[in-house]
Amino acid sequence: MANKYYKDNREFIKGLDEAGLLVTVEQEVDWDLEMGAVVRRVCEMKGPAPYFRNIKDYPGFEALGAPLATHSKLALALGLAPDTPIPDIGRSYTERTGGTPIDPVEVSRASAPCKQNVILGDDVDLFDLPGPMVHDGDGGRYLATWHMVVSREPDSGDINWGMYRQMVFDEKTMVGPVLPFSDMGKMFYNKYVPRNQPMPFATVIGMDPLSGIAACAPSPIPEDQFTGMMMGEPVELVKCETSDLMVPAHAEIVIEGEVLPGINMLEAPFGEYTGYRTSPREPRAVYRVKAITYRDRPILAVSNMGIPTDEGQLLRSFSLGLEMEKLLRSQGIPITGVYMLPESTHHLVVVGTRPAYAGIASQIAQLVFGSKLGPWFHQVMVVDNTTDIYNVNEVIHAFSTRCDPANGIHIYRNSAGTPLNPYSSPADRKVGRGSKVLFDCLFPLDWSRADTPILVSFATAYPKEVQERVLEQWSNYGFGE
Amino acid sequence: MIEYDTFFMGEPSDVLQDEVTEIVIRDLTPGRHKYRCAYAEVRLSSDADKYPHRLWPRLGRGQWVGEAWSVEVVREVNKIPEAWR
Repeated sequence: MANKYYKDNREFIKGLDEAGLLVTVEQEVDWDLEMGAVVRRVCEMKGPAPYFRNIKDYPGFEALGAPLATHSKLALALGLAPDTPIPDIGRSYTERTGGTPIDPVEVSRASAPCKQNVILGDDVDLFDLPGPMVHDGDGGRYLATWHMVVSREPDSGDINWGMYRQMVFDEKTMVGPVLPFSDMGKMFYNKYVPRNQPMPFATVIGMDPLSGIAACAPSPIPEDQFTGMMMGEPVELVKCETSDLMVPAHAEIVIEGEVLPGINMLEAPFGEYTGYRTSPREPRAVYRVKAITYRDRPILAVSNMGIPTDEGQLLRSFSLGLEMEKLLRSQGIPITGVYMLPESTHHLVVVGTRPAYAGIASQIAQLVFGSKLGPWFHQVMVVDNTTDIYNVNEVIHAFSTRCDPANGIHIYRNSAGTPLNPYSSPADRKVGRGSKVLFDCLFPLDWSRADTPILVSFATAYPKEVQERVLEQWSNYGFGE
Repeated sequence: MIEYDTFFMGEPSDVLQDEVTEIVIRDLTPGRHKYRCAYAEVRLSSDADKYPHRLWPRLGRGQWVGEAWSVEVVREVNKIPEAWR
């Protein structure tokens, strides 16, 4: 049975509008910095998504900024009320993604809105699309900031949907980083490059929100099946013009072509998920474009990476945290949950646990850092089961008062890192080397009950009957609800 | 006169001036093709009036160098192998 979901970007825009999470901008906005600046400010204010209806130099095109940059918008995308608490959003996501994978269904070209306009070969010009100059000083115009790149493993046929930023170089060329440890990177560098074979790709811009979430999430199954699982029914796909790849039929814009082996061209700098421009201009993978298809009056999607919170930080923190929760539970660790604050740009993993045995914090850290996703995490903070991991005040209190600087901080050197870490040295960034840290915020088990400090709060320092009376009488005392 | 910008990969003091060198230039002409990139063989100079076009250099993370340079574009260079153009 289908879950509640938005079939395409346009239905999602209506949903955002009905929920008061959208601002429609009718006045002309310049794609050269102004549009990016609006989206950036919206992210920093955690504001409603801007829907730009009038883009300078590009009549007939529209853009949606910051589509999933808050938990309210994420809840809405999952068919929940915008004010759904974060743990409940997590539970709904876990339920929806714990079922049976659902294969996609192929639809005809006639049924695929993304085929309403088809540009091929010599007529292709990436500058016919309103790619924004997102930040002053970026290496170029980033057409692909909230999108997915579809690729296929040449031997197994496995599909990958992932978010790999893409900068417009010239009319028919995009460039962008494809990290070797990423799913597409493993495919490209281990299979296509040794065979000197170009890798077909399709960049999908303005897909439905669940496809976007799937492209961001670490999925153990192909993302098209993962999306179907979240929808509760098959996602509709249509074949590309220039390859056998399949793309969401209701997407706004599709750019098709090949990633070229053995050639790199300069890309970056760009605002990155950490909130910095860490990577300098460097040679990166080259995407040669052969076709562009799009809906009538297409709507570009724009994510603006910078200081928190943007889509990538929010969704990656959300989905990576839930993956770590699944992993730790599968190992029988008595955790209360795992939460990654979006403000940590998915670097800090906060784990709540019952301190059942000595060394449990260390075990948790080693499992997290040693996982497939380990390169993305740099700090693990373990708090006990009385701390609400979703309450940043409680987490900071636990860290500040229970993590002994001498005995509670454990550093792991020469670990897998990423080139995008702002605090890593240039040499470490070059080879993707990192370091990790565990903040153990558990009181040691060998402290006697008499020696262990007692938390003082409304919930812990009063008998139950006193708490109940106070809560019942709260409005009678003169306090609001 | 066309206005371009470019990103110096190191310090401005290390940039080869007045000899043919290959860099990536971005066309700053207003309009849809603004920021089109191209590899090009150029001569460049920190003297803003020496060559026919204006060049605005940035450092590797996008910071403006602060002064205008000038550039002569000898030819554009297509890095894409013929078979994949």
